[in-house]
Amino acid sequence: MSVIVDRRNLGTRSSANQDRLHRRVRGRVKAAVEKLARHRSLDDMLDTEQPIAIPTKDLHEPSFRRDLRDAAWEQVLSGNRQFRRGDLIPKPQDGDGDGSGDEGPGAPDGLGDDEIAIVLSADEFLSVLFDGLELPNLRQTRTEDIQAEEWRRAGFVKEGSPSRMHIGRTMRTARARRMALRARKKEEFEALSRQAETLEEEIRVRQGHGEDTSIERFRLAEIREEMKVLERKIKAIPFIDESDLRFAHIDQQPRPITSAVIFCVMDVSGSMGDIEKDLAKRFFLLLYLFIHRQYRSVEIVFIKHHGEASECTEQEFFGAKEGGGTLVSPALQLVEDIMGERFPPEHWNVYLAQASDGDNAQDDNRVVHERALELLPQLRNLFYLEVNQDQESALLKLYKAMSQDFPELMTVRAKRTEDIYPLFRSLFSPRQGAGHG
Amino acid sequence: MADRDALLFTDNEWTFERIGAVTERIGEVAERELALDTYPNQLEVITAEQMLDAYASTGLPMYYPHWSFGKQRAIETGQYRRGEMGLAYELVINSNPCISYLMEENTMVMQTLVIAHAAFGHNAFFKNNAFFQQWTDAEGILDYLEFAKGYIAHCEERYGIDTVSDVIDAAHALNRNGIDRARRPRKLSTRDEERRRRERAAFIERHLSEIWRTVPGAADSVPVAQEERFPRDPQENLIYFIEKNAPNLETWKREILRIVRKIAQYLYPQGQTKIMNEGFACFVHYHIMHSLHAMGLIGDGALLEFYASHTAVTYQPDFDSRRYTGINPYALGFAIFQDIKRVCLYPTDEDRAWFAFAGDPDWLKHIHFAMREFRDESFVLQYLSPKVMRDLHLFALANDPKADAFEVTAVHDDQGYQYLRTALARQIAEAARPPDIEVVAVNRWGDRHLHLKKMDPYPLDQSEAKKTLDHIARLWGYDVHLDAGDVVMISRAKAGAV
Repeated sequence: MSVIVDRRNLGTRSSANQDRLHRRVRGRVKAAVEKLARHRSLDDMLDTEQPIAIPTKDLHEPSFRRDLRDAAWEQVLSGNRQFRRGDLIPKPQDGDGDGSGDEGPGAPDGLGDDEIAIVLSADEFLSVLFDGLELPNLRQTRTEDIQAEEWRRAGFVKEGSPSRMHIGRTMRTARARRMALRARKKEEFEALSRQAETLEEEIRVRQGHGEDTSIERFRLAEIREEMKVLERKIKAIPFIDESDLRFAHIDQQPRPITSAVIFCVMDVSGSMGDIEKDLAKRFFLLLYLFIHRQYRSVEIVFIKHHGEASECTEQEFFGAKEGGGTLVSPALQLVEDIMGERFPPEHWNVYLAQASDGDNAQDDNRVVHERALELLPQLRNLFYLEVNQDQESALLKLYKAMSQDFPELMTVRAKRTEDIYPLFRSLFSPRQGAGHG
Repeated sequence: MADRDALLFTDNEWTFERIGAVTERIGEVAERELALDTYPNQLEVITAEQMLDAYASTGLPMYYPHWSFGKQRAIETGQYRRGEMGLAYELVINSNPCISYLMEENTMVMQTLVIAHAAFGHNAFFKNNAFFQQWTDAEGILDYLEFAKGYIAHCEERYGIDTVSDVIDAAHALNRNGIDRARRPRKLSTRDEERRRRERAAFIERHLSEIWRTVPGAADSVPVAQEERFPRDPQENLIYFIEKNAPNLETWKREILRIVRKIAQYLYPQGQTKIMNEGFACFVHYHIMHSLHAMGLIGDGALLEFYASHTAVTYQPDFDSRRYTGINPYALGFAIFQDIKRVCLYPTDEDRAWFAFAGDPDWLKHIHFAMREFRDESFVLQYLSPKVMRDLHLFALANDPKADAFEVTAVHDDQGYQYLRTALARQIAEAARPPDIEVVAVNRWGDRHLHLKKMDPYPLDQSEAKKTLDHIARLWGYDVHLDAGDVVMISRAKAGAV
């Protein structure tokens, strides 16, 4: 007897082993991921699966083995052409004395190469990248703040509008009711019909003997009558009854807000060059990816500003090169406007990320202060990245001072692309307190 | 072909119907012409990815998860993708029913070959070879693997993946030293395995402290003589010894040791019968394919494709070829089985001098006897004929580490046959055997160190041995000494033992 089974659609069963392999080399994987994060552009990294080379010596599995290099051995080989007994074959002279090399009995390890490739999916990559990080200093909010109402299915009820009637449930209930009501009566009916049969039999026998059967016949008529009544009752059980009706119920239930919006605000004045923009871009991207892992959906709003602020597309945002002096406050004003219009904080988790060289007009900082005071209570976090300054700017100082009262305001300074990822990590490591610059 | 309509298939696409039909005809031939006694077959069609999975878990249909299998798969996937390694066309599992994997990429001819080879050749070997019968339990293995997987999942949940992994690492290091060579194992009747595990756990908890009892008992109890050796005789099964005697090992760790040991033992006969198993399967498929052709069930083209695969598998490269990796077990095994048939049917004077059964026309009886009663070492010692040695051009080479040259100690001539046969058998036996490390003593009254001794003359790879000892020390919980002949290695028990 042979059975033939198609197993192809079962897929592979290697994921458990792979998980454990990744755990085992997590130190290496982490180092490799961080190196990638530091030097490669984030787009590249997320584009494809990332092969990471792990030296097999990290994964060595020891066991008791023989070492025959310097031992006496004898072995049988195939393919002799000219040798005779007693022939001497000079040993290879390459010094390692490895007489058992190509042809030897030394058990091959199966490890030809000294590295294996571990391939991380984009998800795994991110989870390593952001391993152990969390959103810091979330502004404390009352629970109702982070909730909204939504309609959800909530089981079945007996009353409802016809449009919500659940046919399947209704029919099931009806069937159960019919079976329950019928079963008893059917049993009775069958008992009666058995009685009737015995009576008939008895009548026939007695009649055969010429005895009187009037009592039996009377009884039989009685039974027949009872059976008729029962039969009617059974038939009278309705196929469907009002009590069977079931309706799908929906209910309003609170749910946490699962969407977030990030306002990316960047200074595009003349002092911001390509390098500075690249720094900002990396920071924003990491931020986006990180915040994206916390929420179901994340929106991004790009706002560029120099003397004045405007909302723009991503290309414009990173490609923009505009001159002029810098004013920060109009950008904050625009954030507030857009937020009020499209992303009310009671429905959205709002984040603000700002990148600038901090070269703000002196008297604008006072306005910035006011705007920020207004804005901060509505934000989950405000991140400020200052790029490429030898000295802390007045703006940075202002923000730093404010962060004493508003720990959700966090500041960092960066000069080179390699700095970004470590900065990012330090910003989001749980033990880290307020921002630093 | 005389009758095209009789052909089981005319193009090379496999379908489930064709596989069914072919299996049925092969079954008839196997029974009628080769009298094969097999387990019921379960043929499973799988993808290349699934074949790589199966590789990673040494062919077992189910295994507990461990990083080393992930590593193995990463290596093999890499080699496969780079084209350095082809995948086997089939994989077969010694279980009842006998599970054979067929790759979906195979052509119909290949599927036919694979079914003949695995589902009948290997299957019959598993069922009838004495070594397999004694050492493995085809009925129980699937159950047991299921139990093992479940138990280890339970441990991971309870004690953490990393802790469990450490124990498995240590057990795997001793994998090859966890076999009782001299003793026939108990059947793995795993329906009771879980119950037995509980009993064992309870028993160990009650009795474990017995050999470690240092507190004096009641005044009238006789103290154990301190000089009495423990263990009484050297023990070769290191995993078993540790499992039963490690002083402070938690019960669940002992159970994991037992699982690793049981699975190693199940796989043990495969390593001891590689040449025979493959040789016999090749002999079977060779016979069956020819029979199918002779009956007009497969066409000439199919036969040619079969020859191409068959010769590739049974090819023996010469020692100086770049493809040489040692004696090819398929080549040697197939050659010997074919030769047994030849010696029966067409014996020469030389054969008559070497083999008592030469000229007995009942070749099938001798094939069956050889298949049932031997393992590789004894099979070669019994059946390797001068003809096969000549065909393979065998010769023996000796290395004296002090000399400048290797010496040819025997070639395939009258003076060399006996010598070659013995040398090859010894070589096969040694390759299949791990270094012989045995427990000789436990220091029961002092620092509780475990004393191991290397019993064979071959030098050990010292760095490997050191790392393996560290694993043992972690399990044992106290120092471990290894007397390796010229050197004594000591591994200190660390505070954070497994």
